[in-house]
Amino acid sequence: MSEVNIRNVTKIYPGHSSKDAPVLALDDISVDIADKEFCSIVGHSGCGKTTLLNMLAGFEQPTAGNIKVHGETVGRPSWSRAMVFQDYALFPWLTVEQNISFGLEMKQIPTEKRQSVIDKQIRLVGLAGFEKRYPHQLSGGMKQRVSIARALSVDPEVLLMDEPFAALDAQNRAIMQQEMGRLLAQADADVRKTMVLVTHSIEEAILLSDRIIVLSSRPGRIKEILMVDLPRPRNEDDPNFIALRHHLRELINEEMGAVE
Amino acid sequence: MSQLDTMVRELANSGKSSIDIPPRPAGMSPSTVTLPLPPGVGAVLLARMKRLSLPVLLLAAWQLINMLVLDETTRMLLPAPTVVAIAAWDLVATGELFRHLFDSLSREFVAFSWALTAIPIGIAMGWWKPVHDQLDSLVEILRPIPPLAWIPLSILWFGIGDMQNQFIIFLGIFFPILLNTITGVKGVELNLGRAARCLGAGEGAVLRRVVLHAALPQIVTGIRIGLGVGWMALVAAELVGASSGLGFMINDARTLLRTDIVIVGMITIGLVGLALDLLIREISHRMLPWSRSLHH
Repeated sequence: MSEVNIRNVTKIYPGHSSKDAPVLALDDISVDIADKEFCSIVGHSGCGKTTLLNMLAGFEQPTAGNIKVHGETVGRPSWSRAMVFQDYALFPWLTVEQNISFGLEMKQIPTEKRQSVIDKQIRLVGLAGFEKRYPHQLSGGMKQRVSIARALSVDPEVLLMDEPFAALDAQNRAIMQQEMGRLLAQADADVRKTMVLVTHSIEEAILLSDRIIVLSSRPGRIKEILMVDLPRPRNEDDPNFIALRHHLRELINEEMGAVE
Repeated sequence: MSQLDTMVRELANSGKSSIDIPPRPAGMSPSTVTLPLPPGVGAVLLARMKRLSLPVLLLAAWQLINMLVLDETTRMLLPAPTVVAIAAWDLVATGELFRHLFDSLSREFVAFSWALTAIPIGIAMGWWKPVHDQLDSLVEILRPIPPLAWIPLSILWFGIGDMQNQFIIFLGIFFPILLNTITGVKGVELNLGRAARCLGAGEGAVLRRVVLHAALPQIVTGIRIGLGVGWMALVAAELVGASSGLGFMINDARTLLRTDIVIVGMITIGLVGLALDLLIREISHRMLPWSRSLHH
């Protein structure tokens, strides 16, 4: 059974004033995401990919259609759909440890159990030794590690990621992408989550995804869905990788032409 | 030119009252600005002394004018620094100064405690639009009325004494805290609330665990401004409607033509106001180490 069902989802933003016409952000999106699948959504900025992710999280509601996770319609945000944000959204007044602990406290996990979860997450994302630091004492890459650890700590059913590596410098981005790829390659079925990644980086999508959803621009519609059948961890020099990248780039460039 | 530059910059940087204003570059051409080298300990000490040289000079001038220029009568109106110092000593020795100071401070403290209600009200106004819509017009009407304008009504309502004074100070402290809290809450990043929600936080937890904390630096700024305004309002309220306190003390001394006591009172009011401000600043630096990185 698929985990996430997106059915005929449309999102219309009302205009700010009577002069502004309402904006059709997403038009009739239908897609299913399987259990434990890593699915990327790519497209131009303004194609509504973040809107779709926000609706998956429950931050926004579709104008029409519905989204179900495990058969239940998505309403309010919940820990079962944790999000990793582009700007990290760490709580600046809490240490690394306390940030990761936040969700555990919200889930009312008893204190004695919390520490072991925190330690496990900190090891997983490679932050040992930084437990007592505050976010402002960390680099961008490290902040995003905390953010990922914090989202994973509540053991969500779906992990949502909104351009998680976009704010990092090129070097750190490459490291984070590789580590994420390695994590996915290693992760056994128990640990692995259903993941939805929004990105504008074609390489990132190919590196990490089982499937890539390409959205068209204004209004956002599903243009194509691509399976990525490459062995993990993936190598950017693999001819299949290159072919896929070429194909994706053409799809996106078509959209660029369509907009202009 | 460059000297003027550095003076302007020093003024902008030293500003006790200007935490919210970033140091302003002087409007001169950059080539005339000479950047100081990193100073050693001795140089720092010397620089501090240099900054005190003008006050010391003025004090000396005051003393000299008093001794050489003024006559018996005018000397009554402007006593020499030495006379003021002796008066200060007497007031400290008899404990009178501290008694008045204690009364003033406890009024400020009681009023401050009441004014803290501005924090929950401000959070509600900043967070829920309907609450804001209901209360905003009321706040906007009441806010521009200076606390001092309430004094006549306040004396009629509460008589002379603590209640009257506390009410005036309360008004002085309340609005800065309220307005800063509202601003702080409205400025909380959208994604912080979202992050908390998708980690399982409900509305109450978002408010208590996220919004309150994220707005705290701004709330503390409100408290600092409020305590300052409250302190000024306090002294004014005591001038006309109290039988103790620093404001009462200087007004009482005026009727006896004890200008030395008046000046001691004024200096005390200034120093205590400064101390309150430094205290809050120190507390906020210690309690909110993370916020320093946001403000600089």
